[in-house]
Order: sequence, then structure tokens, then C-alpha cells
Amino acid sequence: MVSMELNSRMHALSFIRKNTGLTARAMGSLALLFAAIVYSTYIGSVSISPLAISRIYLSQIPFAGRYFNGTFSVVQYNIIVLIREPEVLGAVFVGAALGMGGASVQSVFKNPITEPYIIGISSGATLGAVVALATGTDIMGAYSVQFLAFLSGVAVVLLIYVLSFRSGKVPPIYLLLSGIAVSLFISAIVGLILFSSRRLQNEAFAWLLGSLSGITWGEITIVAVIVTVCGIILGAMSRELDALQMGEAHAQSIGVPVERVKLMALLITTVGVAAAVSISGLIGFVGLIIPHVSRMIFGGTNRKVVPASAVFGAVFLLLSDDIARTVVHNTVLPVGIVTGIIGVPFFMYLLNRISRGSYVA
Amino acid sequence: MDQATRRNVIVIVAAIVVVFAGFSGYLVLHRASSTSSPSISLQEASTVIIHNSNGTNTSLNLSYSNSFVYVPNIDHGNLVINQSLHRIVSLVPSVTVTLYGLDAYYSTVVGVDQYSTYPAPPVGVQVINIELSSLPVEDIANLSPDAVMSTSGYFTTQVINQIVNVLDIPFFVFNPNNMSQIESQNVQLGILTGTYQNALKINEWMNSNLAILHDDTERIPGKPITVFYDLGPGSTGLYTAGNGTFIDQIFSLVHLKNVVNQTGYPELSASQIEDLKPDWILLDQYYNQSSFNQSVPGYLSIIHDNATRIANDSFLNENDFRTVYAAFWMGSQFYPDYISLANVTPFDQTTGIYLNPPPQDGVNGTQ
Repeated sequence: MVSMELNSRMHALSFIRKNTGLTARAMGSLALLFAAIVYSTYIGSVSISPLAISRIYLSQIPFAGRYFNGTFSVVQYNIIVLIREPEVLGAVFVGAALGMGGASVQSVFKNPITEPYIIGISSGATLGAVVALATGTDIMGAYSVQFLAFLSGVAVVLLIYVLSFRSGKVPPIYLLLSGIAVSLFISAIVGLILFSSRRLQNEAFAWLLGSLSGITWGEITIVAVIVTVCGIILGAMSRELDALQMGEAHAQSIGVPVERVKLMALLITTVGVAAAVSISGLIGFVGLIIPHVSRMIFGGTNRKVVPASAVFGAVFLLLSDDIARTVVHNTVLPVGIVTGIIGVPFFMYLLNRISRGSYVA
Repeated sequence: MDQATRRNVIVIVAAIVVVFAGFSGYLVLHRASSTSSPSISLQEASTVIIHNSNGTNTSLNLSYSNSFVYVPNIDHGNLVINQSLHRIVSLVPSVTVTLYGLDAYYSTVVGVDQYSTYPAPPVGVQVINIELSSLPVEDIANLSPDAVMSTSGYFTTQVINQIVNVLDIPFFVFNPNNMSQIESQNVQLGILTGTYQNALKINEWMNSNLAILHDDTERIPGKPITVFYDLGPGSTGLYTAGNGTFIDQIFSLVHLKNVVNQTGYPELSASQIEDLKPDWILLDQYYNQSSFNQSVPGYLSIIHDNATRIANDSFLNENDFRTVYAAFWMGSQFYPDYISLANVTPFDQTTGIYLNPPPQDGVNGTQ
């Protein structure tokens, strides 16, 4: 009897400790995100004092903000509000979309070395962007490239999905191989278009390397809505994604409609990532490494991994963008270069840990 | 369908509807707003209206120099400026040099790109790095310019949109492609900076020297020397300047014939260049033997020291009044008995604009 009571108390204590630890880690992650946002707003080629930045922040509060007007210059306001804030928020939402997308795709494929781009989002978006640049298509004015990149990214993923259909099912291996094949085919077409125009190479070059510079409030508003909605849906699907991660047979056995869940997960991931990529260009490695960081810190369940990947994806991209903006004086490097340079060593480290069995993806 | 699946399907369908409704709404709002309030598209204009201090207006047609201006949306398609520009960021060397020649550099230029090395930027003029098509827009904003000036095809639409429609700074794009358009560019920059009289003097200087060059060239006997101009390695061969390019026009001015028949900037393999049998190959100053060995097999075998000239690429590609020096240099390299740089009349003495003198040789010519 005493033993049972002791066991019960120990179990309760362990539960409290576990949840306290989880809460602390979650709060720590959010605090890290907040700190990264504040720090990134402070970083830039033009030096603005933290006090002026604080006043500019406060001036944007509805109704109360007018009390802080006049305590900073118009130039400072323009740099913070019109240039840095959209870029910082761009990093947050693009990083979140890529992080969550990575978690989702890795669960669907039950493969730790996949990322959202593997299903054709990147090649599709690139094709849309390059076609828009080559033809001078004007659907949405200055945002025509972004809009066509989004549509093309979604369309190519749907094409790959249809091509992978076998007897009412879409086996992950077919999806993976079709994704690679179609992506290579599209890359060849993109190469052909770029080869035909020297002028185009310059503009497409910037897009292909990925950059958060030049993101405007107009762009970030719509992408924020899409990424948030997609994030909520992926979070709601965490139980099904967990089941898929255990294998399709297991998922089927516990009543998960496998094909429907796969389709929905891929569709939502595609919409979110394509929207993000449409404004940032191709930024690699975030979708590959961030879900693993989340799993190392919060464990394997997608209920934690999906939101954690959003937070860590945002933090990673914010800090990468800070490096891109400051590592070379007076020059803004494309952020895709920085994520690539940081991402490859981490990926090798990850592979090493997986091969030694010290980390199970 | 069990309850959990039904719940998920409802959530997903609802979310998709929200996303696409949001997108559609955004599109509709964008379309509606484009006619009544600032839109997000880049608006080009070829005419600038300048309010003069005496109450009159000057209408400036930029199309005479093959140029235009991106107008901030708040200006509703027309660029109207009060008097002359006082804070200019020049992101192309030809505009920087022209402003210097107009004697407007020290009074108007607040920022230049890193390629604008002539004149050397003084303290107070910020050098802006424009590598990889990117632009530190913060630095531009910090300079509070009333205009940014560049040329076509360098910056992405996104970057230009940020300068024009986020910071509300007009973005001039100058693309003169022949001597007449360079003269128009001089006049336009003169009007924009309040140095119109100096622009007229520069044009007079250009015309008088081009007339001298013409007379010198008329005396050259025989067929024109044929030339291939090497602009550096591309993906399959060498880029060169074909028909209709500015460099091609300079060749014509000094009795040279471009061996390339294609228009624009085609890419030619080593065997194609050899088949054209140019008398001379003109290399730019970045010519690098080892890179040619790797990228264009066979090319080195047709380059001989006694049949090449090395030109300062920037002088030949900067479409401004200094092209006169480039033309004289080109002529003097191939027809030294008829054309000489010494024949160019001194810029300051002719125009009365006393600045640091332009380089005496105009182009760094070496054999």
C-alpha cells in the first residue's frame, strides 16, 4: 500500500518535473525568438540607438503612439519601420514556414534527410519566377514574380503528386523519386531560359540565392496570414503526422486515413512554403536541419516539433540574416549563402550522430 | 468517416477557404486600389516637370537620351520637382562623371557606387556597395536623397520598388546609346542640377573634338582594320560587342570594322573567332590568361602579343562625354600616324569648367 502510494507520488513528481522542464524550454524558445527579433531590428548598416528604436516601436502602438512622435528623426523611422521591420518579420514567417514544412515532410516520408524542396516546391517556384522575369508578366505589378512563383510551386507539387499515384495510393518512394525527376527536368528548363538571356541571369541570380532584403509590408501581410493558417493546420494534424512517422501500416492500424492525411499535409506544407519562398527566393537547409534541432530539444512528437520548428526556423533565419547584413561591411549578402554555409556542417554533424545511433530522427 | 477525421477535414477545408479567400481579397483590393490610391506597381515616366525659381516650368523629356524615371506612387505617375536636385545618389560611373564634368558633383552628390572611382569620392560622399545586384537600401535612406540615378538591368525589381515606393525616392535610369544621346544626357543632368549652361559647353567640346576626329579619320587610306572585342568569358565562349552596340559605334568613328555580324552581345567560341580572322583582338584590362585557358579552349592559340591591344573596359562602356577620349585612344592605337590623343582640345580650357583634369591618356593603352 505504502509502496503504491510512493510510486504514485514519484510518478506525479516526475510528471510535474517533466512539464516544468517543457514549459521552461518552451518559454526559453519564445524568449530567444523575441530577443532575436529585437536584436535583428537593432542590427543594420545605419546605426540607430536602442532608445530611438524603442521610441519608434512605441510610436506604432495605436492611439498611444502619438505621444512618442517627434522623439526620433523621419529617416530613423523610415529605416526601422519601412526597411528593417518587414525584413525581420519576413525572416520570422519564412523561417517558420520552412521549419514547419520540414517537420511535416520528414514525417510524411518517414525520412530524416528530406526537406520541403524535395517535393518540387523550389523548382516549381523557380520556374514561375524565371518565367515571370523572362516574359515580363504583369499580373500583380511589382509582385508578379512572387505571385507566379507561388502558383507555379503549388502546381508543380500537384503534378508530382498526380504522377506518383499508383492504384489509389501515393507511395512515398514514388513521390520522392518523381519529385527529384520532375525537379531536375524543371531545372533544365530554367537553365535553358536563363541561358537565353544575360540580362535575366542577373535578376534570377538574386532570386536563386535567396534574400530577405526588399520585402515590403504588402508582401509580408499576405504571407503572414498564409503561413499562420498553414501552421495551425499542421499543428492540428500532429497526431496523424506522428502516426505516419511510425509507418503507414501502423497509421492505418490506428485508424488514420493515410492517403488523405498525406495529401493534406503535403498540400498545406506546399501552400505555406511556396508562399514563403515566393518572397524570399530559395533559402536552403532551414527545412532540413531545424526539425532535428526541435526534436533534440522537445522530443519526437509533432505536437511539440511543429511549433518548435516554427520558432527555431524563425530564430535561425533571423540570425542568418543578421550575419548576411553585417559580415561584409556596406554589403548585404543573400541570406541563402549564409544558411548554406552554416547548414552543411550541421548536416554533417547530424549524419554523424544518426550513424552512431546517438540521435534517432 | 470517424469523428476525428471529419474534424480534421473541416479544419483543413476551412483553412484552405480562408487562405484562398484572403488571396482573392488581396487581389481584388489591389486591383481596386491601383486606380484610386497608391498601387504596388512600378510606374515609369519619360517626362519630368521642374518648377523654376522664376515661376516658370521646364518640361524635361528623358526619352531623348533613351532614359526614364521610376516615379513614386505618391506622385501619381508624374514627377514634379521644385527647382534643381540637391542630394543625388549616383549608382553608375557615367552619371557620376557627367555630374563632375557639369561642376555639380560637390554640390549635389551624396553617395556613389564603388565603381564610381572618378573623381575619387571626397569625405562626405558615401560609397555604396552594389555587389550581387543587391543594394544596402538603409544607406540610401540614411542619405535622404531627392533622387537615385543608375542604369538599366542592374537592380532587381524588388530593390527598385523599395527605393521608389517604400522610400518615395525617384529612381532615374539613364541608358544613352550613342553620342547624340550622351549629349542629351548632359543637357538633362544639367537641367536637373541647375548647370544647364555647363552642359551646353560640354556638348560644344564633344562636337568640336568629334569633328577633329572625323577629319583625322578621313585621311586614313585603305580598308578598315578588322577588330574582335573580347568582353570576357561566358558559359560557352567569349562575350563580345556586336552590331548596334556603343563600342561598335566607336569602331566606326575611327575607321575600324567589327568582325562580329550579330547584334547585341553574342557569345563566340574560339573556332568561330578564328574563322572571322580579325586583324586585331582588343582585350579588356581584366584579361587573364589562366582563366581563358580553362574556359575557352583554343583561344590562347589565336592571341598573339603582336596582334592585341588592352583597353580600359570602363572607359569604353561608360557612356558619357569621356567617350571622346576613348575614341581618340582607340584611333591612336590602330592608326598612330593619323590619330593622336594630343589632338583632343583640353577640357577645362575649352569649356571654361576648371576641374581636376581628366586622365591625359583617356584610356590606359598598352601594347
